[in-house]
Amino acid sequence: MATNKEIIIQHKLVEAAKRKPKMFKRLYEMFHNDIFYFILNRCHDEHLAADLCSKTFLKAMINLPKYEFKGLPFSAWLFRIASNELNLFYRSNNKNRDVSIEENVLPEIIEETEFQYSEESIDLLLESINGLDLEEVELLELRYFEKRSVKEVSGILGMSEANVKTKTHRVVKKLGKIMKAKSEK
Amino acid sequence: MKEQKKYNIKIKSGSSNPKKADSHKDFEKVYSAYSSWVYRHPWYKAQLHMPRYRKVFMYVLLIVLISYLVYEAIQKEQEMEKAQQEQVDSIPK
Repeated sequence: MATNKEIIIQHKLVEAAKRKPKMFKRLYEMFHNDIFYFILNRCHDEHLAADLCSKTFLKAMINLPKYEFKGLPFSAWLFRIASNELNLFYRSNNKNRDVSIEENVLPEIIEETEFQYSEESIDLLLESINGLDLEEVELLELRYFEKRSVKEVSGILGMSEANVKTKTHRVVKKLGKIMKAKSEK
Repeated sequence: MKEQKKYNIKIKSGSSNPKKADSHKDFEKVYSAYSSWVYRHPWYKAQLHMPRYRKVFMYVLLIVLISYLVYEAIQKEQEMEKAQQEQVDSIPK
């Protein structure tokens, strides 16, 4: 999560880029890798990720005059554009959405669903994620799989911080219920 | 009935390689795409101000225009009154 000083520097760079689009290069270099991996985690294809990443920055440059500073890091706005680009891609190609989970976050999420960590519960978790909506999966990805702060998630999804906390809690509860129902079958 | 698979889930181990992202970093490509987009959308330049400022600008323009029209109307009326007065004055008593 960016500090206040970093956020102010980013804001100054944004203002400079609004006046002169070539100045966007600094912001591009600052956030390219973050956006690239954000997309790669959601599409599992390096070339597609690079393509969507370029589209994200192009859209950001085009819409930069409309960007309004709200005290959040500039990256939150970029992540939101990237997320919209990904959703657009999956919707227009009618493909299943890719989800990446890091191995080391599995025990935490399984514990949250009140299950014991085991091979069986991992399979159960992976199966149960299919019972969630896209918005719920996005919340899980951001909060648990990528370990982003509530403030950052609220900036990316355009929700209030309280709403992010409540919804995340509900998603984990729902996931636990699905897992329980599947384990009883 | 088997549940429909909505997501392709992959478990990753280890951290990502930063070199992979660096090899795709190319600002010039994005900038040239932006330039050609701007070239294809010439009205884009008119949108460079934030909507809030545009609204204020429109109000100022409107006020200036109305004030000018009112001023013109008053001037015309005064001139007409003056002309009428001259006509009246020119009539011998």
